[in-house]
Amino acid sequence: METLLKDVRYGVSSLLKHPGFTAIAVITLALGIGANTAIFSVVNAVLLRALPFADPDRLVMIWEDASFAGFPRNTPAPATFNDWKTQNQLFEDMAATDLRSFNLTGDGEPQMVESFGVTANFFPLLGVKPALGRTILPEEDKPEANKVVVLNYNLWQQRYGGDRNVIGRDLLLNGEKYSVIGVMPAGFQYLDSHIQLWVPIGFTAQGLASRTRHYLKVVGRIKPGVTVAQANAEIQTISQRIARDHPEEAGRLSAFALPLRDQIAGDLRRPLLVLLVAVGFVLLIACANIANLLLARAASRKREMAVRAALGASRMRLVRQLLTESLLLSSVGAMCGLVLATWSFSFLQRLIPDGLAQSAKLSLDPQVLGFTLLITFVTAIVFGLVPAFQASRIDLNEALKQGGGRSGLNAGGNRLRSALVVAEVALALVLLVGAGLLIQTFLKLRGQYSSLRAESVLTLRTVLPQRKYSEPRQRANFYQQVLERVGSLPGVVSAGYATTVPLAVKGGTNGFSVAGRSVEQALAGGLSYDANHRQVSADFLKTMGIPIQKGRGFTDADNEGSQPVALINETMARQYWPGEEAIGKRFKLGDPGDNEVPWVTIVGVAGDVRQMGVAEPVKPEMYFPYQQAGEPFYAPRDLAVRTAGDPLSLVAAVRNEIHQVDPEQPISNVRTMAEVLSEETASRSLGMTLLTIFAALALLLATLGIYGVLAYFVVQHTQELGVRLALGAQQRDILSLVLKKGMMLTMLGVVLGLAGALALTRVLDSLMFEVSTNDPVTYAGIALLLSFVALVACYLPARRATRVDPLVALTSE
Amino acid sequence: MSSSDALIHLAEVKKVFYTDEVETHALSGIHLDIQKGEYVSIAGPSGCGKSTLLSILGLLDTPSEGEYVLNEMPVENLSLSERARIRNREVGFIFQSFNLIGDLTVYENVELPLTYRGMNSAERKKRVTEALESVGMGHRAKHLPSQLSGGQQQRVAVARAIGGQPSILLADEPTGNLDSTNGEAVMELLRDLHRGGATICMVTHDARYAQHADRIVHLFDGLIVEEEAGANRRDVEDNGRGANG
Repeated sequence: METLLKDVRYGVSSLLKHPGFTAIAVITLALGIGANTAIFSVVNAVLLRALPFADPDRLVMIWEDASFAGFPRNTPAPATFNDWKTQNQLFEDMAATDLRSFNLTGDGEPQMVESFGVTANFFPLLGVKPALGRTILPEEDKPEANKVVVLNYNLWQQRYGGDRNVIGRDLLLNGEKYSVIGVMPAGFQYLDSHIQLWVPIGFTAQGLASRTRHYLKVVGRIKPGVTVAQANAEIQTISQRIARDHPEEAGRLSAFALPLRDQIAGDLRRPLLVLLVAVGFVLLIACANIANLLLARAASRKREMAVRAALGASRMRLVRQLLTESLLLSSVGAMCGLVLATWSFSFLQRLIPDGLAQSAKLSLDPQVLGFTLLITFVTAIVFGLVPAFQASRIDLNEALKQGGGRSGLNAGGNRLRSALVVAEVALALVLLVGAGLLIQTFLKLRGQYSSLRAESVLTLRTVLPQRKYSEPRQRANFYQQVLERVGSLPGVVSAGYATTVPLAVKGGTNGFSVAGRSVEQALAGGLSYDANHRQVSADFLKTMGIPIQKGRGFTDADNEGSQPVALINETMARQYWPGEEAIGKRFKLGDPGDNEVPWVTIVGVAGDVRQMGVAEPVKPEMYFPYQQAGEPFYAPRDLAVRTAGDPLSLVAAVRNEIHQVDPEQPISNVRTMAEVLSEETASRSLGMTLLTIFAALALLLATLGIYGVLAYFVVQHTQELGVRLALGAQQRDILSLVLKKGMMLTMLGVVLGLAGALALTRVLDSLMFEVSTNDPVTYAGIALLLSFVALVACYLPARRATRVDPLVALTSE
Repeated sequence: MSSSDALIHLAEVKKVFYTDEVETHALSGIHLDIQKGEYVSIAGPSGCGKSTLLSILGLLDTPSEGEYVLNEMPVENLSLSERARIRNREVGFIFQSFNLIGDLTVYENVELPLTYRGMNSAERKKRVTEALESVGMGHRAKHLPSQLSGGQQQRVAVARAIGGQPSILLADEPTGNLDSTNGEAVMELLRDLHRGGATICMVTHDARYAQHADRIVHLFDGLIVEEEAGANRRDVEDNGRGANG
């Protein structure tokens, strides 16, 4: 222990004596360890930390598989949920939720709140108790029961100031009275972070029997000892039974169970692991750089080590001394790294998926600190061990002579330094290629919406309460007045209403029948007659920048008194009328025999917009004039306003015009279309940004590595360079000698890096969009970029080499 | 023999070094001619300016003042690049510490100045082989310097110096790092080269070896204070008298 303390003391003093070296090493390690700690903290929060529910590994989501219609994760209908719940043997319980929007009024500013309707067993199934009051009782989960509501913590704090007397208080939700029975604890969240309250789902007998309205999300708790695979098999068996018993409604549907964590974080698993590997590479490069510095330092400490050895220190004793110094360096680096990681948390919090946004806060918890401690030790060993052995290998006779023989490393040490630089270049190239591929993907994703000119479009949501706007005429009046008022505001180019703007809601489909095709004919083609249903105002497509490719758009003449018409997108035209002219064709929503639903005539074909997600295939889409559409479920909610200037500068004016029409109408989701796009690509954007930062860091470290090795080479070979100059070498000969050395190492690294990138970037396959992981342009571009940067790094020491004064070089010891 | 025929002609060459505010006169007005085929040794105590003079002769340094004509060409005011070119063609160096390049083989070391000259490989091979053979190191061509003794390394350095058939060989204490046996052997080698027609200028503080030259130039405080004939010249003259007598 005493000798260890002496080692530490000596190590501290030795490092303090070389503040330049110590500072560079600590900064490099802080960046490497800090980046690893930061990314691990996200991995820990998203993939490792237990979900905030009781025994969360037994929780699964149960989905319908409607892949034939383009929905591999489809929401089941109530009757299907009921069958799953009553016919299973392997589940302890199952609960259902549905998404609801309420206008919260009567006790302050009207506020639009998102909520879940939940079955009474929802909270007990999750195993979470309320912070205040109680949760929903079975007798309250009935349509005729008194209406009750459970608040989330944030709403309780923000709207009711955390008042504990809120229990028993009545709220007005969409004009109906609800009694507050409980408040959930801070951080409680299930799936959607925007949910602010929970109400009983209250199935009616008729509602529970429905097999056509697919809108539920189902969560189940499997019994102890049951595997997800077994649960899956059972759900599929039940689903086959349902399909057999109800071929028309469910004949092509299947079902499956998905662990809740996979549901919440599954999409992030690969990107996070890619980032973890990336920061691992950065740390390896940092280690290689420090090892190089230590190797150079070892050469200058040869005499010190020789004296120690001459005084009786064994080789292992010397190695231990040097490793202690390495550990000191990595420990100080780790402490600085922890500070950097903490600073990054507010930025990285955006990587947390929405399903964990409230519950998973990034912090330096024991797991993260343990990880940092581990990599601190491993890092010290990785960068310190080889230089320590190198430094402790001494020819005492040679080293203790006056002058100590030629200072510098032996051939083995130089080869090692060169090999480290090659490895650094190779690792940096892999990261750069990865970043390059992600940047290209991101640009392609954003580029497909360029025609929308999204930065000039303001969007906001006005969900009209069903009780207040129960008649189509009432709704139409509201839309018409709002559009007239907003359209006449200065700075507004055009305005339109739609069920939803692209990407804001990824669903809302209807089955349809094509005139002249029997059900048998339709099924024979293997097509699913299912398309997105959008009710729009006449100017919506123009406002959004969606072109009319054929035929005409809607006009105000397309109203409730005129012939029912529709626009369809190009995908729908191509899919259902291949090789035919779709314009003039007729279809109707639902069953062809349903005489209450009119046939609609296609009057135009609109351009495709990737509306289901930036990387998801375009879904067939049908647009109807809102004046002709009776189905309130798809009634327009989203207002789009194209402006001449900054769209956000018109928010107050638009809000005012809406409140002129209906002072009680809540307005939510106020954002530009560019923000909608940004939210859609946020995690990709952040992942790409982080990988680019790490790749740039890797490039910087590798460049410093090349520079360091060459600068050391020049110092070490000053005498040789002097000899060459004395023998008549021109400056260009010396320049070329040093450049050649540096560029040979670089090229070797580039070749190895390209091979590594080809092998490793395959893991990025699922993150690519219209970009191949073997994209030759990216590979060539990155190789050139890295070579150029390396050339600059080589040039500086090479230029210094040309300034060697042969006289000084040849006369100095 | 007039100065205009000299291979090297120095007139009033001065060299002043400035360190901070201190002005050091390393050479204070050197007049020196070295004829083609002559063997000159420069002797003197430490700090007298021997090495500075040799550096100026070898175009490693430039005089602060004075005139330097090498092979009929004024060289005191040439650019770095010109000096390198002339050094490569006209001067062969032999250093005290050999200064062989450790990573290169014996062959490659000798070949190096020829490579800088842009000579084709066949000619280089011929010259290198001849040079190595002439110093008795042909059999060690593929060895690295670290595999040779000090004496052998210096012989390789001599081969490197003569491979390019320079106008003059400049040797700076060529025996300084050698034991007496190897030192004698290197001096014998230089004498053989001189007999073969080489012009040699050697700096040494060892009076025994200085005597190997035709002429010994004594330097003191940056000035030539005495010139005397070396044993080599006396031998020749003695032999001449014997022959005539």
